[in-house]
Amino acid sequence: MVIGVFAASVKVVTMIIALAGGGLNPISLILKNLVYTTLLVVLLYKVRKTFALTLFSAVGALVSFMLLGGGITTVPASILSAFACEILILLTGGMKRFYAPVLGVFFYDFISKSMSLFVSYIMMRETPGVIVMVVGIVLVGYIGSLCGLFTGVYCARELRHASIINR
Amino acid sequence: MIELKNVSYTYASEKDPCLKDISIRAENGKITLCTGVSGCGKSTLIRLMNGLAPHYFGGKVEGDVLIDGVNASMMSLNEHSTSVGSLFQEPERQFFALNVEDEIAFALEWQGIKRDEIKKRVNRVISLFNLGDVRNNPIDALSEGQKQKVGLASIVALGVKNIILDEPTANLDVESTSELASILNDLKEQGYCIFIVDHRLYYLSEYADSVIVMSNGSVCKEGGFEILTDEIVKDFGLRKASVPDRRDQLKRADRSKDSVVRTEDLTFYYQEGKSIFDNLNISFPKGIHVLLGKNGVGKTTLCRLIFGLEKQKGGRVVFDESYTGNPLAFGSIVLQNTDYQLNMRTVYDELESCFYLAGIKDSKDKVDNMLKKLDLSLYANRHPQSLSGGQKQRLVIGMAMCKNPKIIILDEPTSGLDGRNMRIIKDMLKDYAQQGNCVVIITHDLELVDDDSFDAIEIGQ
Amino acid sequence: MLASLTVRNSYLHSFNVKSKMFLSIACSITALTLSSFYPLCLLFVLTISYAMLMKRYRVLMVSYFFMALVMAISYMCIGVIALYIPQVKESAQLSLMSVPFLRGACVMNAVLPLTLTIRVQDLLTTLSNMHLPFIIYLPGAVMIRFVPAFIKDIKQIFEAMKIRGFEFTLKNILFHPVLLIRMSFSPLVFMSLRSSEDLGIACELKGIGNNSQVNMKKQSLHTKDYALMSIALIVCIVCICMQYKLTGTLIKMAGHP
Repeated sequence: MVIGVFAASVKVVTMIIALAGGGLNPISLILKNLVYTTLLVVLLYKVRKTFALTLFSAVGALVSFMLLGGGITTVPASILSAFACEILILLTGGMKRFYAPVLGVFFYDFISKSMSLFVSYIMMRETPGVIVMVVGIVLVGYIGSLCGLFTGVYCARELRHASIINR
Repeated sequence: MIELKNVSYTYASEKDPCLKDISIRAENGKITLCTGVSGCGKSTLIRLMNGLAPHYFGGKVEGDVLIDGVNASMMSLNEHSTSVGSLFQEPERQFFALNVEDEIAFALEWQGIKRDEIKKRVNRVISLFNLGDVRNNPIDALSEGQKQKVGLASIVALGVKNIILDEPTANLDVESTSELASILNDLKEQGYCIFIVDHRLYYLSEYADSVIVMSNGSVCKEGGFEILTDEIVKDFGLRKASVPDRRDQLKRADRSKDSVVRTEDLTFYYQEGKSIFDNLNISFPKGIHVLLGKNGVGKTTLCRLIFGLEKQKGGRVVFDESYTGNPLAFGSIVLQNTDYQLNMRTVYDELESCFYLAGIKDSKDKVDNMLKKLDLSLYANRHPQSLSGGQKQRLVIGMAMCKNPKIIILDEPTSGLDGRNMRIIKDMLKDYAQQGNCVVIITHDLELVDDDSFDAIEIGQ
Repeated sequence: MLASLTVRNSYLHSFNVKSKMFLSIACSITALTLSSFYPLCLLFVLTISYAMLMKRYRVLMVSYFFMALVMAISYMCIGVIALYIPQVKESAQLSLMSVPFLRGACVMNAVLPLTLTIRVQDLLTTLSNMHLPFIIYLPGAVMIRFVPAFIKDIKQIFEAMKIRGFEFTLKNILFHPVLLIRMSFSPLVFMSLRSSEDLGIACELKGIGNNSQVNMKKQSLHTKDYALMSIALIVCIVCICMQYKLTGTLIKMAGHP
């Protein structure tokens, strides 16, 4: 349930930021990624279970494809990256370690963005120059993702102060 | 039937027991009412009865919880859910589907029941609760009373005989409250065991068979409805057992006095074309007023229009002393959902940020004074979201008062609060009005408006 | 996005969600595979005809406008980049942009009608009829259920900020970014956590997930759904065969015109 509700809030918030900022505006790109990563870190601190990340990306992708009509080309990339990160988390000691959620989300952002670049390349393979543009956009968004790791930990600490997580 | 024999319960994260040596019995064909101030252990008692404690919340249970004679410790949460149904204050927060019929069917679909049987049960409860007209309506479009009915219908459809209701009337208006009472009485007569936890008591005066008063995790008083005397009500911080409906008897506000805010030919309609106000002229003088009007007449809309939260289609809102700046700098409005209004890390920071936004930079003394006034000094370093409902409501009202508004409008400020908190808030508002300000309250709370110092402003006449 | 929540009627509304999903996936994969101009043109003509059936011409026009705008910006940027990085000069040809544009347009034509012609309740019923595992189905259903509620919640958060005297303005974005994020973001996190806790409890109390699921409403495919899926499949096969005939290969990568 936590995953469903979080996926819904992540979807809605990132969409509103994107719409408000006009999509390619750097501020909205950074903000969108920051919020996404923050909520994802909070989610993993709340549900510290193996495969929570994979489930989150599977549910998000499934619904975003059907409801938002988007991401049809990035769905497999997102799920595969989440799965790869779960394996990485397991190899580094599992979800119970304090920094596991941050580590997981860091790799998830990195791998999923790399894979989405690959998908963009497939879409635009006749004009590889466009990829330079896409790389730029993804990099700007990635700044937001990196900041989101810190804000995510900050939020998780505050939620603990409010006795809402890890009670 | 639900029975607790010498039950004590301690949460996993706490040392001291939250419930101490509780022995109570809720029988079939009877309505049992449980009340007490916030934090006395009522919610935990419900959790024990519906199995969430210890199955979901963990912790340690001593004594016996018996559901229809079977010891709950021998039951899984799934077995428990087939014997006890629970309905909460905001049922839509626990709905999974988008329309009435699908919501009623939802839980049945996961019980392994055959399709034809599901249809039969859904049809039966829809007719039992008179939900035929709204059968395919979206949940969002239902009134609070209808949402409660849908919640009850889905419990009855599951076939459970023990029904627990947690503050079912907190968001209901007077009419819906009496309709709910009558439905509960019908269920009682059909042999259901009804256990209600609520702060509001008056609506069950004719229907409750037994009353339990709790305090500090223990049962303090037990008996018939008549045990709720004025003395008990006062001692235990409860709401009154008998509340007259004085809305029609309230004296009308003297509109010849200088108004703090008035509307001139205010016109408003929704995009769908539904007209709410057509050339409305109304004024709000100094003092404390209750805004009266039938459901859907536009009480909340009027307040939103005054502060520019909705845009009028015609006419204007005129403030005292020809003030023409931002209406929200002149006055303030306290909306219902306190959770959306609390953003900071501590209660202190919350108030300090309000003073800062009101242009007061060095506000330490003012924050301390406000904390004292709100009776929240002890909680200055607590996270606002970890406060109780009554404390949150007091804080939000305090936040609205930081900018010293000439008019303050409150939408249902006391819903879901116990008698003690309700009276604290009432006194705060009366004090504020006596300082020469205008306080306007939109409320369904009969007990709050049962006061001679309140007058009424009626719209939609 | 929430066009899907608005109820309008067109011929496409009468098709089952599953058949529209099939068409979207098949056409999108085919569009990704194709790289020759003519097969893509054929796919484009057929998918745009399909998209027109939903009678949302304005939405289609706006979508195309945005797509063309993004492509135009990209084209101009590549032109500038090409001044410094000569290797990308080859990409800065307008004729080369036509294939990615058509590919993107085909995907958009196939997916937009799915989004704009299903009702949220149908989507929930479809999800439950897919017999997905409980662990996927329920969070998915909850997510769909909560999207409109969250939009309402976000409006209330902004309203609460406005009442407090702190609005989402450019000035506040520049001078008080931390306070702005705090005020807008923290109630959202708490709200999400509260909702998830409430639903988790509701799930337990209703005994959901402990037995197999039975659907009260059965969604079945009709003849016209099978026809739509068959046509989609045939179109995809024809386009791929056409590409094979024209280029002698099924998938063509960059650098091999």
